[in-house]
Amino acid sequence: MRGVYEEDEAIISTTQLSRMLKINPTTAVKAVGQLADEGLIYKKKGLGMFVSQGAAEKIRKKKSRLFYEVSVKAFLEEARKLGITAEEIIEIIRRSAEYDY
Amino acid sequence: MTIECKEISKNYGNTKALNKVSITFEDRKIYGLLGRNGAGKTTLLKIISGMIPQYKGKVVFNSLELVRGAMPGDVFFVEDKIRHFNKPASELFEIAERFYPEWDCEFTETAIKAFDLDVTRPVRKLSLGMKTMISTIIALSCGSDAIIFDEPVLTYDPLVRERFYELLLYAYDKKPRTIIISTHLVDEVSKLCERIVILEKGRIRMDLSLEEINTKAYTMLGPAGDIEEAITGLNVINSEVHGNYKLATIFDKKQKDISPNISVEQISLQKLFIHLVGADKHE
Repeated sequence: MRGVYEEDEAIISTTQLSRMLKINPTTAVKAVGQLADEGLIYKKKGLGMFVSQGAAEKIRKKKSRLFYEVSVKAFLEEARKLGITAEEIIEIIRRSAEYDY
Repeated sequence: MTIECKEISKNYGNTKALNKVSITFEDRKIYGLLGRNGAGKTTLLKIISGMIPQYKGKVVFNSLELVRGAMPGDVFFVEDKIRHFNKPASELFEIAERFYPEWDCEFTETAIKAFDLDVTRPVRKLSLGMKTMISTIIALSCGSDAIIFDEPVLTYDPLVRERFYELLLYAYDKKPRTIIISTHLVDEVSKLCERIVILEKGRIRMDLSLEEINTKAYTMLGPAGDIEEAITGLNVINSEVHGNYKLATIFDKKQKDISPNISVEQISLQKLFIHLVGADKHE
């Protein structure tokens, strides 16, 4: 998402990942395996793991869904508890967005 | 090397330090051994290392039983003490190198640099932390099939601890082997481990993979009524009531379809550990 890796570019090895984050190598292998299962990276025999075509778009879609299902829901829930009305929320968002951009 | 402990018991006078402990440390895995003071960690590790010859039960290395009173050659035990030694560390490493046929010189050099260790001063004049570095370097360089660390980071400052974790993983990558680390720095050390073993009052309380722990340990916070409903049938290891709210710590599978009033949060291994072994003092 941040553009650290281009499509079809090699990512760091699980060994490097394990040493960088100081985590058990098996944990690193499992994490990379999960990315592969989601189709975000693919394996080139003897060369390592590479970023799949459209990986960034896939992540963006998933994160957008989570943004709605988790972040927005939690946000609305909090607003409801505070007694903030829908109109007020819209107004708050509009003002904050203007201020930030 | 696979290390199998079969029904190991050890008494100190009337105190049962270990009470029929059976556990298998699998080949080429890194284990974290946790437990409160006096839980029996050091006793277990010293029995495995052949440093305590009197005990009940069996220790088996790759299906070869440990002979009582013998020191297993392939197991290296590291503790935070090192005997006074009037020679500089460089000489100690040279002696060790001649002694161990599989000694890894490249690793020794890397570790000396990483620890920024002065190898020219007599070992006895070094600080406790530096002495621990020396035994750690020997352990990770000597090529043994199993290394046992009893509180390896107790004498280290936070920076040295980070270096130690890096070196441990580097050594493990060069030569995967069975490593057992006992520690009180639960969250820091557990990241390095594949499995976590908790000892409590001389017995095994838990022996699980880190992955399993991460998916099973969580808290639920919400209105007491909703929580009561949600935790039915689950293994609740701690619960606190704050006004109308209840905070329950669960060690079980995740519950689906819980009330939206409940917030679910993952907890650290340290928190889980405290609830698992600290439960008795609240009752």
